[in-house]
Amino acid sequence: MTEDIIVKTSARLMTPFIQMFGLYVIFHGHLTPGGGFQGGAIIGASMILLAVVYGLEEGEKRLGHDASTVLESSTLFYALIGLIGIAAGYSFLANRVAGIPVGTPGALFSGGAIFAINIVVGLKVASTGKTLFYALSREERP
Amino acid sequence: MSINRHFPVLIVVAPLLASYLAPMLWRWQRRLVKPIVLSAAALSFSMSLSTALQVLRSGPVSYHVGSWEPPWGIELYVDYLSAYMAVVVTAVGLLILIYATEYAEKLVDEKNRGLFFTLALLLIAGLTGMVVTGDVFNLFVFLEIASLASYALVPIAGKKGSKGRFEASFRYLYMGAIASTFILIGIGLAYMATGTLNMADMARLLPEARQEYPRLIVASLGFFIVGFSIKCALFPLHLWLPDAYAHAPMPVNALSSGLTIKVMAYAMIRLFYSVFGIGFVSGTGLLSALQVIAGTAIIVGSLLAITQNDVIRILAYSSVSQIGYIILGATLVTKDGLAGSLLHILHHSVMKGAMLLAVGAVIYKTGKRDIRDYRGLGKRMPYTMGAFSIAALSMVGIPPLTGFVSKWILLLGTVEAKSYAFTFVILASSLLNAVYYFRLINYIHFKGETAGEVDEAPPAMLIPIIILGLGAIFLGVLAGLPLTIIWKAVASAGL
Amino acid sequence: MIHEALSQYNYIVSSTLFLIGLYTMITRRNLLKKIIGLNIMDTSVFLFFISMGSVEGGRAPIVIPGAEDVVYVNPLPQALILTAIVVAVSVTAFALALTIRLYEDYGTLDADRIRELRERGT
Repeated sequence: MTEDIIVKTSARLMTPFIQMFGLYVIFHGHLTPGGGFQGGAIIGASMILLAVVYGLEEGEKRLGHDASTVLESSTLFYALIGLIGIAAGYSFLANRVAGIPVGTPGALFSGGAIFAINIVVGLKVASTGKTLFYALSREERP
Repeated sequence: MSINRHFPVLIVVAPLLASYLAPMLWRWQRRLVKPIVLSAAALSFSMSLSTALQVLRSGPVSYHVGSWEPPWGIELYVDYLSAYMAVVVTAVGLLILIYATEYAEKLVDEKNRGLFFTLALLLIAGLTGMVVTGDVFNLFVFLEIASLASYALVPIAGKKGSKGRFEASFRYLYMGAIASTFILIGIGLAYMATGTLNMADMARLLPEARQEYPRLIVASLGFFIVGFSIKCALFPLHLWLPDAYAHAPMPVNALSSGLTIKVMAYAMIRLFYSVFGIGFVSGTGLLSALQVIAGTAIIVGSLLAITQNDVIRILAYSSVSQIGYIILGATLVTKDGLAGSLLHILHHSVMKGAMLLAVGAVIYKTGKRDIRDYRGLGKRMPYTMGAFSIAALSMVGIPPLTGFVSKWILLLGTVEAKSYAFTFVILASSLLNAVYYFRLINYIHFKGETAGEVDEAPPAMLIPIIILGLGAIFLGVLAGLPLTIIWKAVASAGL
Repeated sequence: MIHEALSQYNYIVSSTLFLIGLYTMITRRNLLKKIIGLNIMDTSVFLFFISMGSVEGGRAPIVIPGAEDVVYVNPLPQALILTAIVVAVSVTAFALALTIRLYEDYGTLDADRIRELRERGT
């Protein structure tokens, strides 16, 4: 890997902003266009950017394989959120009717289950994006 | 408020939850993986059985996901047909998973073993989802879950697999992706014409939409037919199937042949009878074309099977032929035709499941798959090969074994439809089946000894094989049991 | 007639793209080109759905409190297509992973050549 100071510095400077924007898209998924998938893809892209610029090992230090395995199973919480609806006596994935507080429309903490699901999906997509990139780029001779 | 009400969704959620858990557990608590996988499948099976009994007792069940009323929310709709299919999928799926716990131990790379269970459960979750859903787009989503899982299951054996496994998987993916795109366009056109995705609602709005956009709806139907024909390996779009079978681990083949292509055929039946309306479909002429194609599939599949020496390829081409029976029965538009087709879904799952798993047991023990190496195995592995031979005889249609009953009802269906050409096709195909299955049985039992020192498969593999083999004997005599629900399904399909 | 057809240009564009994608998938022997063809085909379907739900002068379908006569585009096709995009991404990723493994095994991306090598090998 060649030492390119411009690429490295700009990547380092950009990454927090990209991730911040990704979090913004995730957290405002129920208010603006976007949501868990889009925000997660942005965060995943930032991790891929780091891995491309600093090399795969450096990227692995930021988010290890174990951590991304756990994060990828975060879809578990999607199903668990769905089960809340059943526990409350309504249907799978029931939201407001099952008594999940939805807040005032337009406020950041509103939307009830949708807000939580966006976060879960965001985590899942971000870690999947990173894992996919690693799975495809790692040279693994049989 | 009982939990029974939630069974339609929990049938799908149980394997889905376990499949998320499996990769995590495989990393840290490896011994918990198998119990969790099996209990999820068993739970799903018992819930679908209970739902089926409930449906038989008190009529179809509708479930509103998120408590949103259809047609706005996603509706899961379990009627007679769905309940029947859900029981078939989960029951055969559970048996295959029990078998797979032992099979994967030896023939799947350790690195991939956790993934194997994840994908197998995802496949079952996707298939049950396709079966219970009452929403066309939801059908597509579950279809894609099931398809992606089955593409990835083909090369799962890792280094212990054969060399062409990635190529076979790529070809499967390539044809499957084209099929998915066709199905998606079909959904888009149907949505354009009706403005709804709920099956019942779409069925209500389509007659009106037909006045306004006659060609659009025929186009939509055509896209659906081509898409699902690829997915269920209907000749001449079957090319992915023999290769995928030859390279995938045997439990995967059993899942694919026993469940995946059957559920794809189910989806086609569902669209014909519950969404587009069979009267309209048969009026377009597409149905008679499909009949001819299915008839050709029956004959060509059998002929191709005769030319093979590899046991797996014989069984694969036999599946191509059998899917022809199912599609033919569904397109005859007679009571007996549809009932025979639905019964054949169960019977073929059981018979082909028994045979594929038995061949898997031989591969597990000896690694051999050429029929000329099967000489004398009947003495070495009496239970496995006994189940295999009974299933093979049943496949030929020897009365009173299982295969005879469904073929007989199909035959009555062709007579009822006055399509005597197809009566002849079914009879001729039984003879062709006899040619290659008797050849197999002959090699296994009556051709001396070349198999060498082999003993029976371990119990976890033997028990599913024996259960399926017994199914191949007794489901024929007990065909009245599934037929009670099938006749109701046929009646509610409007025939 | 022609005017009518041209006013539906979105369908013409998406079906052209669809055919280009299908043609690429069927005729190209290079696996990567096949995957690109698949993506073109998928994109044509996305375009078809999105243009189907769009309304001239319509806004993003988020309710603006207080505003009365705002025209929103149909959000349902967008939601469907988001799902379809996820599916297409997964299929593409898996196809690429397979392609990498095939390249490692055979040293070529040519589908015919791979078949030839495999048949000679066994």
